[in-house]
Amino acid sequence: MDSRPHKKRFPQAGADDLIRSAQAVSGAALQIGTHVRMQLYPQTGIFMDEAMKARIGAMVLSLGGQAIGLLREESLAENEKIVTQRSFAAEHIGAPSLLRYLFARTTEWSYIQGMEQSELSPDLQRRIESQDGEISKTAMSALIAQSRFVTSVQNYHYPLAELPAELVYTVMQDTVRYLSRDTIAAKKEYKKRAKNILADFDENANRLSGQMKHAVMTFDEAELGDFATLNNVGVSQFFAAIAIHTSVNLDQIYILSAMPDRTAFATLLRAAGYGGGEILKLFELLTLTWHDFEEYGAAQLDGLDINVAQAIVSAWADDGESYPS
Amino acid sequence: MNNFTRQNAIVTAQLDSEGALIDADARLLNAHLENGGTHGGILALPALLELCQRARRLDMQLSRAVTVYCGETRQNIWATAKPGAEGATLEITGWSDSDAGDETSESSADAPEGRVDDTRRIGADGRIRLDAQFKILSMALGPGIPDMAPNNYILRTWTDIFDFPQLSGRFDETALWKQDWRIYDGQVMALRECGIKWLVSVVPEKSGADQPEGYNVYLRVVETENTIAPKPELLDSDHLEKLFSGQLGSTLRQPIGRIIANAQTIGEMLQGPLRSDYASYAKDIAQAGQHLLALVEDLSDLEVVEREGFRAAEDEIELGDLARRAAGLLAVKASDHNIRIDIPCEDETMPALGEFRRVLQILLNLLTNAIRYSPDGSMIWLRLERAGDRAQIIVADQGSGLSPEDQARVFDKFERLGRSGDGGSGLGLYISRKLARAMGGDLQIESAPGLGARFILELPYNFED
Repeated sequence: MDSRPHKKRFPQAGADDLIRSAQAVSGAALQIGTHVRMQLYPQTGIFMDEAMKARIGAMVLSLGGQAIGLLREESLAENEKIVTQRSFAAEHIGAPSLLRYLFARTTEWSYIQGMEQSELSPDLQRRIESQDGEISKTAMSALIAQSRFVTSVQNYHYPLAELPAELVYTVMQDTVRYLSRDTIAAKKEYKKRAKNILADFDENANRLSGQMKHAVMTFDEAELGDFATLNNVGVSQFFAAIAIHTSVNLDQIYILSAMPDRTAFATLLRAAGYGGGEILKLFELLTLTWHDFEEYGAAQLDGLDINVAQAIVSAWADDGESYPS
Repeated sequence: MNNFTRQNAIVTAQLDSEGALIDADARLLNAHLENGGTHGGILALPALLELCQRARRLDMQLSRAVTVYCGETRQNIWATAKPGAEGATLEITGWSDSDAGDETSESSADAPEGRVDDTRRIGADGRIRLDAQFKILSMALGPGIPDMAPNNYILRTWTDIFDFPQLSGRFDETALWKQDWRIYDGQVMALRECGIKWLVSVVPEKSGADQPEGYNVYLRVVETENTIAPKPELLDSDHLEKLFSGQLGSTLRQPIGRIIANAQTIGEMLQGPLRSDYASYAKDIAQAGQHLLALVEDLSDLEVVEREGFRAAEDEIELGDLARRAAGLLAVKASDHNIRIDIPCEDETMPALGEFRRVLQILLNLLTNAIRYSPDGSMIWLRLERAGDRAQIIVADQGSGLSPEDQARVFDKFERLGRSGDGGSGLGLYISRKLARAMGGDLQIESAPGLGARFILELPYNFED
């Protein structure tokens, strides 16, 4: 498990290319990325390189474009489209719930990118071949959705239908408000269209929902301990299982994992029952560096009582679900 | 490793717009009942109830992982809430059958505490986590309260940080942490050098051991620096009343109702002849049951009006209309005693502000009392008057009247003025006055022995009518 050769690391080397690509989508992207950090994590000093900022900014624009496209049945002129997308993004620069969600997804994507593009893990294969139709279907759906997710983020895009319902609702309401601010007469019609779109929204088809459902239906204590099969699909399932086990919101876990001081993430993993050695191996698998490794070695982590870790983590769990309606 | 032991059959349920469970598969119904829910009562699984309410608020389908407590076990389930015009539908998968000894369900001694934990957490303003020695592990005192630097409280004994005024002097304060956690539960706690006070609710954490491994402390603000804080309501008064009366209704009203119905059937000999003394006993049982039912109704109202922050709605109402409705509802009862109720004529109006059904409840109580204590063949008057910015409705009778001493006591809780056996609980006037005051009005009495009584219900006059 700890001897994987040639582990692909997060593409820091290609950051400039990513930034240039993001700038091609919108000149506002970098500015948005700066706001992400300033709005959300001024105290934590969370790790976010320029490529990540650019990617989040681009995804906000992408979501705005999709919402506008759904609400406006006629196609927009290209110039008008860019203007409306940028306006939408500007409105959402200060929307912590959306940016927080996208930050978590970008972090997740970065871990997936760092994994080997291995063949399907035996674990996933077993699930797909399961006699239980529901298990098999969920596992297959997770595989397809994961592939879609990786491609989307790679292309600076995020599907509107992949957002949690609260965020879809907020985005649609804001877009209605934006589109009808100059044409009050159309507001009623936009609201009607938004209502129909929201009524058709099925959160069950969402990739993250699929993973969480899968974790609920298949999770047991032994399974949590098995991270040997972490791969580009498994990393998301692993985090989903941790979320179920610790009752901490999934996004919160990704955000904790991204903090430069890994103490918080290590505490979370300790609360989930991992020993110090296993935690450090996990860090290695996820290509997470911990500069205080020597200071907080495995023995130190083992010394952290699991009950105490659970008590601390339980306090974080209260802040979990935070998508406003 | 991959033992797929979850039960993947879908469990469904239907909730009404208030969150009451109107239909459910057996597994969900059992979990609801085990958590203190009742047939037709508000869903007693808070996480699922919240999911349904959120789905209705957004008018969108939501699908989430949810933790519920079923009997002695805690379970993670997958729930989908679909909003509808009349309420919401729940579909649940991943629910293991705890009776079958499912290994995936987390069975532990702390499950009941966990359930309590879940319920208390909903209404809490803040939370403190303590270890087994009452040392603070984490602390969130709630919005609007200045943050403390963690190094000022982490792993410090909580009595070093907080005062417990009501415990002061009762124990050796330097050794408070050594005492049982129960002494803190329900106490008021104050932050030193700060005027904020909280009501403390302590839930121990256990995982099979006899001694708790730590504690969850839930805080509700009861007093701020400047004033007595209006406590945020977990549920509004309507909801609370529905919750209380709904649960009470199932647990008490239904069995009492069945007792009354069966006793009446026996007493009336509807199912065949019976010895007359047995029939008489059955009628006594029915009468006692009716008395008990009335008491349950009054206690239900009492629970509602005594809750801190109880408020009534401010509807635009017309007191003449309400007087005529109340008189109509009690017309049969009055005619049984040959009592005539003189009501305001149709074109007489008195616009006021108050909650329609509450005002009707007060009038029914006043009229019931008037009928109960008036001589047969007498008269009861309902009159409308205005006094400045107050709208008044007066219920006057020709009963025996009350002395000044009795008038001073008549609005007290459980005050019967020495009367017994008349079916009253001594709560009706107490509740009525509480309701009147909650609507910005009042209820007063004018009386003299032998001259009958005038009960005056005052409410704010509606100038906008």
